[in-house]
Amino acid sequence: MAAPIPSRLTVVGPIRAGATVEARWIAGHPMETGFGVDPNGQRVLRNIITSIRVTLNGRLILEAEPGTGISANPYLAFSLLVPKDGGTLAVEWIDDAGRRGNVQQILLLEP
Amino acid sequence: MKAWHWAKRLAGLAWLCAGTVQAASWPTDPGLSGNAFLPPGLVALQNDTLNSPLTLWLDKGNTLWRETTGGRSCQGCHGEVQSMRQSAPSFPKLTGANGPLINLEDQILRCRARTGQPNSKLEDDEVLALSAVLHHAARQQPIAIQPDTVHLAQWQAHLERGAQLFTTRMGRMNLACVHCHDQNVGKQMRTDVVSPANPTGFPVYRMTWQRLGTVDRRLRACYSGVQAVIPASGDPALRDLELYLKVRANGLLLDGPAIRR
Repeated sequence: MAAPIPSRLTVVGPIRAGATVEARWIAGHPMETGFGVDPNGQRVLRNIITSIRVTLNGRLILEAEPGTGISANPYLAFSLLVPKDGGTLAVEWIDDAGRRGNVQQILLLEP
Repeated sequence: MKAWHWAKRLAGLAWLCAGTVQAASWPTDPGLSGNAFLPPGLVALQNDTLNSPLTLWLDKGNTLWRETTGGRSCQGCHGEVQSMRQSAPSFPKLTGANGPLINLEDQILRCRARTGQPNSKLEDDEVLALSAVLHHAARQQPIAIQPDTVHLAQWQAHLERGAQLFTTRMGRMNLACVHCHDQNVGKQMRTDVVSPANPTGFPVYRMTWQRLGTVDRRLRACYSGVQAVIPASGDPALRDLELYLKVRANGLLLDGPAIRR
């Protein structure tokens, strides 16, 4: 069992109802393209994150399918509208090896 | 006919001037950190303390510092990582009479071997992560290499070998370090800008590597750049060169871990 994929999700901007904020997500994934070779000259199996799903309060708001052109430690930034009562922003992903991960950020409205 | 000739010449001159202006937009000060030679996009990425790739290693390093797989943790012996502020600026060091010269990553390997932690290779994620947090703790501390007064002759010999390497032509390019990093600082080389080779930002996240790397790996990349025989990782020559570079940069502030092209 390999170590879990480290990742971070941060929200930048004023968390107020109706405000536009930027969410940034990064994961420490090698994104092996399948074309590389290891030091012994053996082909390294393709292992990339194949699907990223972003949900806000359980509702899917963004779905991405990165290809082999995305480099290691993929980074995703997107804008979103803060819902009226705040909520939970969650990013989940799965890679070729079947490893899953998810990270959440609670959008707590500023007073 | 003649006017046309002059117009062409003028146009050529203007083009030349434009070229010079562009080349002069990079600084040439030999006392600058590599950060001064980064394009704005990478500077922005590096300043993003929440989501730059460096944060992945810093997170991992901070966890590793406290965790243990049986033996003592780093924190068990050394205390909080912030208290290690003086550590990174003082390496490479001699390890006693006739002992090798070791850098910070070598010391991490030695510690990990002593406390029975798994994985013991330079450029392993664990070693890089620990090196990253130690360098992060030492941010804004000046590089402070002190001569080893007990084994002064030995230390001096290492330094001289490093200086020798720095000024010796090598490889198919037939270049010495000094030709780029002393004499052509601030000039463009392919897509990169030649920096004064002050090792303040290590370990560095190089975009071409897509991961963090140590001084050791960066120097081997230089050997590759001039098409010389690349020494193995951990080669004593690399440590001598690192010692010389750090002595050369003594007093400059550490600003690692950093992002490079």
